[in-house]
Amino acid sequence: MRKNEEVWPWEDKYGDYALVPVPKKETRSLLTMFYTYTGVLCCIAALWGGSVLGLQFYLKDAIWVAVVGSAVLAVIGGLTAPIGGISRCSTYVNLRPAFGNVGSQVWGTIVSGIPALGWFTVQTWLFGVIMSTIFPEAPWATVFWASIWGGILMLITAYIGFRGLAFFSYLAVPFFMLLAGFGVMIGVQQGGGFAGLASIAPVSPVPFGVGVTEVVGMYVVGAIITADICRFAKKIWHGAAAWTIQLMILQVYMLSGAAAITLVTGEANIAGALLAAGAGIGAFLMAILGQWSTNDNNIYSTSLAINLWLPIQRKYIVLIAGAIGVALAAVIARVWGAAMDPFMAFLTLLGTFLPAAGGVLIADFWLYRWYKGVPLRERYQFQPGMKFGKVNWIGWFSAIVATVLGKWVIPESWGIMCLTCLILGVVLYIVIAIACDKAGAKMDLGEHTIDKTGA
Amino acid sequence: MEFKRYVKISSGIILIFPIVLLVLAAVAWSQNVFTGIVYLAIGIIQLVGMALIFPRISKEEDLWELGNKCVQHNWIVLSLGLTGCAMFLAPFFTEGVGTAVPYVAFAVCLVTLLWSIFNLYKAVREAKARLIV
Repeated sequence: MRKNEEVWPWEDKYGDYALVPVPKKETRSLLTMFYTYTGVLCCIAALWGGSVLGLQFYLKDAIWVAVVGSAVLAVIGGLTAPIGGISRCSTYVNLRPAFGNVGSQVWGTIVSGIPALGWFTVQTWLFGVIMSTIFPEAPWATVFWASIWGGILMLITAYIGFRGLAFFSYLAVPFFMLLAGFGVMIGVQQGGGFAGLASIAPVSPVPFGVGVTEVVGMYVVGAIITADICRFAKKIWHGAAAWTIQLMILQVYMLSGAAAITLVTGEANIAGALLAAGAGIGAFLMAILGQWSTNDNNIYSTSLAINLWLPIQRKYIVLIAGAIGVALAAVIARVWGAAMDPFMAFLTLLGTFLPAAGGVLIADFWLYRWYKGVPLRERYQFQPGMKFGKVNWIGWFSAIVATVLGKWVIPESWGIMCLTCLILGVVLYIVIAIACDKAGAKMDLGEHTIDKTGA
Repeated sequence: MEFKRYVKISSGIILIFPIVLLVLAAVAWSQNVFTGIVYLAIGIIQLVGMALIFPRISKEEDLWELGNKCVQHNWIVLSLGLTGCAMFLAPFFTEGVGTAVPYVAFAVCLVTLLWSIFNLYKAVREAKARLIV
């Protein structure tokens, strides 16, 4: 039995263990981890990512791009998931040692809380767009109305918390996966068998590395915040295992399926293509279940990040933030129509800082604690009364400099941008932290003591 | 233990339905290979998912743990049943296979769906199992 479970000295004041470690009795199986992660993966946007590959690569190359990109993501998630498995805390609580208490609040909100809310808005709007494509004549399926009722549906499971996310993933995942397979079948049927499909030339070919960058960039945020889900894992390795399996098998399969259908039809709108090919109600359910099982995770992550500095029940944060997200989606639908590009560019910019922050977290947990001689299972074992710096300046400095260098200084042709930022974050943090340690310089500014509610 | 007996009998009966689906897959294969593949995929996952419950519960004496295992396996059957219900009557999968085969396949999935929901209910109620395990 691990140290923080001999006695569970916490009070879960904000619900769903938002600020405190998940107790042993509330942990869940490997299957649940797998389903919940896969639920995040199952969305129309992921299929659109595969469609983009279908426009850029031959099928064989698209599969290799998906494999390599997924392997990179598996490594990143494989490093962050055990942190959640060991600490049993969310990503934002885990940021405390590396960024300080104020740092975890600021970084958690800027790099994940706000972007996740933004993506909730985008996905809700996208849901409206898909509904209006499938049912162009129905008044309830206009982009405006579908954004509203779809957004409200997605809030339900996030309001319940982890159990709600997992419950819905149980329903959505197999369905979505088989429908993605349906995409392959359409590709094979209309492309004249596998041989015919493999010989179809892409419309806008790009270099291999660009494709890998697209695959990694598509899901790198998920790879860094794996702890939000796997803090509920029964065993430390469950999170990493579930994460890796869903990527290496299901993501590759989904991206390849979507690429196949796009190669054949030239159509990037997968739901529309499925409907046209005779998927019937399946296309409709695919849109609902896929968007729902992904978007509830977005708003859930927002609530966890914001809960660090807003001391109210987590479920109320879901309602407030969700209402803002739904209203924004509806306004976008009504006023801007399909012009989402400026908004998405802003979210992408915020998300740019996340890989470097993830790199700092990885460096602090895996390298700096190892350098300090802390045994693996005793790292990040938070206890009431534990003291943290208000700001860990090395974390801030490393994440900002790594992002600036990776995003604006180092040419993108040198590698995968988000991966460059992450690696720079790791290197800067560990080098400066060890140098400060040797020189006896302080890493932390100010002091914060956590109470039994985790605040 | 009464509940364990129920789980064994009920799981044994549920196993029959994916086998029916596999037979239908064999029938449909020559007329529409894609229909055959989908029937096969759903049938095999349901069959394996439910068959694995027997070795897992054979030595289980704790009612709560037994209930949790029952929940796990029935979720697999339920979610695949739902998938089958949504897909089997779609035009793509009925093309060339007549009307009887798709409707029988749909009915098979509907039965497994409803039965697994009942099993979940029973596990939660009688074994106080968790719905999310």
